Order: sequence, then structure tokens, then C-alpha cells
Amino acid sequence: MSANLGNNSGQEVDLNITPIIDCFTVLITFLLASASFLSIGFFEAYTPGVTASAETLEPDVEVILKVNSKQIVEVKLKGKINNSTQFSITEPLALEKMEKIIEKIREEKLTLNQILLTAENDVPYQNLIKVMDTLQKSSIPVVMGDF
Amino acid sequence: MITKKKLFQKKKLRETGTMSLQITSMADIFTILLVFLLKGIASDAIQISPANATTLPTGIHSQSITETSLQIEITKSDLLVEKEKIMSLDEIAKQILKDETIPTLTQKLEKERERQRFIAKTNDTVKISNQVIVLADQNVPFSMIKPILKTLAAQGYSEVKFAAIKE
Repeated sequence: MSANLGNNSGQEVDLNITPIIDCFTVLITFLLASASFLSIGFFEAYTPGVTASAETLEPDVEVILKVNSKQIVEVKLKGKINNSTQFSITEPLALEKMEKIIEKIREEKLTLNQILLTAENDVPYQNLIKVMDTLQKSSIPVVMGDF
Repeated sequence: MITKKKLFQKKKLRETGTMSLQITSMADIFTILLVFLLKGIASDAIQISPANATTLPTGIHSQSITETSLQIEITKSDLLVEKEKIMSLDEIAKQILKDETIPTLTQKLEKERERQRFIAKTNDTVKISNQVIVLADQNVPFSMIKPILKTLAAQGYSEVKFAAIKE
């Protein structure tokens, strides 16, 4: 690459692009290193009627979670504990409270084989994933379906 | 100091139209790009890419999987099995039977099962899997997911892996 400085002088100046390219090489490296690439993860769930075998003992507590169209999760406990609580999906702290209910059942050494998860027909998939995201920590199998 | 000979050579090169290109730096850039691209591919054991129209939901505690299985995708408008469109979501609503299963999906799953059995017969390392990967758009209503889950259960697919983008 060269540039002609005026017609009379006749001098030619060569532009050295090598250091410029070197700078860009370093810049690209840092940009790529700082970039966050999208990665896909998975939430495991079971279809109804497969997790419980004939040998499985009747659980002490049965947990049914129902997500409704108003972005509320209703947690129903049946068996040795009987109650119903509601949590909002939009509040992260509320979901943490839901997680604590499940932890409490385990602390009391009550058997809990599975968590049943269902929703109203118009509930978007994103809301179910939010609930599953919270349940993932408990490592109790989640059964998704219509209960 | 540029000698007369060098100036003559430059002039001659200009006249003939030839130009020397420095490829060292460009090779450096491409090496770095290649390394990062390879790193990106290697980090994901299984390549799963949803269709362009699908926006996957996000999740913090999602886990990675080590083995691939049958892929079912629910986009905003269609149902795809192994990237092949089998029906639209509107058709699902029309087709749902009393037992809440979808006949078209049942047929497709039966074919996939036959294919799995055939491969398992010829190859001992391949086992018939009851796993299925579901890639669904974040706005798909549960009314569309429910009959798909029931059809999967009826065909013996008990483990469902729901895909989400890691936050």
C-alpha cells in the first residue's frame, strides 16, 4: 500500500498495515474471550404413570403444584401434612419459600416420591420452566401432566 | 536508503500489476478465530439448535445431557419431530382424541420406535431409549404441551428433557 505525496516531490510513502492488523488480532481475542456463548440446558421431568412401581411404598406426603393463568403456583400437600399455599411466580423470593416447604418435608423425614406439576391450559411454557427451575434443587423427580 | 535498483523493481511491479500480500497477520487472526470456534463446538457435547422462530425459555439450574435422543420441537406454529414438520398447532387442537393423544404424533413415534428397534438389532451398542428432548417456545400454552406429553407417555417415552437456555 503506498501514497503519493504531491506530484512534484515524487516521494512515495509506504503504509505499514502489519501493526494495525496485530492490534485488531489482539482486540478480536479479547472480544471473543469476553463473549458469552449461548448454551442449552435441560430440566428433567417424567410423564404420568411411570415413576411409581408396584414395590414403591405409599408416600407420606403427596405434593401437587398447579400453575394458574394469574402467574400463581398453588402448592397442595396431601397425606400426613394437609394444607394449601399460594406463591407468585413473578416474585423470586416466593419461589424460594416454595422450595423451603419441600425442604421441610424432607427434614421431617417424611417420604416424598415425586412432585406432581400441572397447569391451567393457557399458562405459557416459560412459567412452568420457572417452577421446574426451583424444583431442580430438591432433586425429587417431577412428574408433569394433568392431575 | 532506497537504491535505484529497488525503485526500478517497485516501478516494474506496479506496471505489471502484481502485488505482494502479507498473509502472516491474517493467518494469526484466522488461527485465533478457529481456536474459539473449535472451543465453542467442543463445550457442547450434543448439538441442539432450535428452529429460528423458537425462543427457548431461560433457566438457572438446568443441567447438561450426555446422550442424544429423539427431539420434539414445538414452535409458535408447528410441531416438529427430528426437525421434520408433522403438523401445525392448530391441527393438534382439532385432532386431540378423547384420551388426549394425537394420532399423527402417535404414528410418527411408532415409526421412530421401529427405526430404533431396527438399529438396536443390528448394533448391540445402541439401546432403545425412553428419553425424549422437548424444545418448546416459551409462549406455547400448556394446552399444547399436555396432549404431546400424553402421547409420549402412551408410546413409552417416560423421561422428558425440557430444553432451556442457561442463564
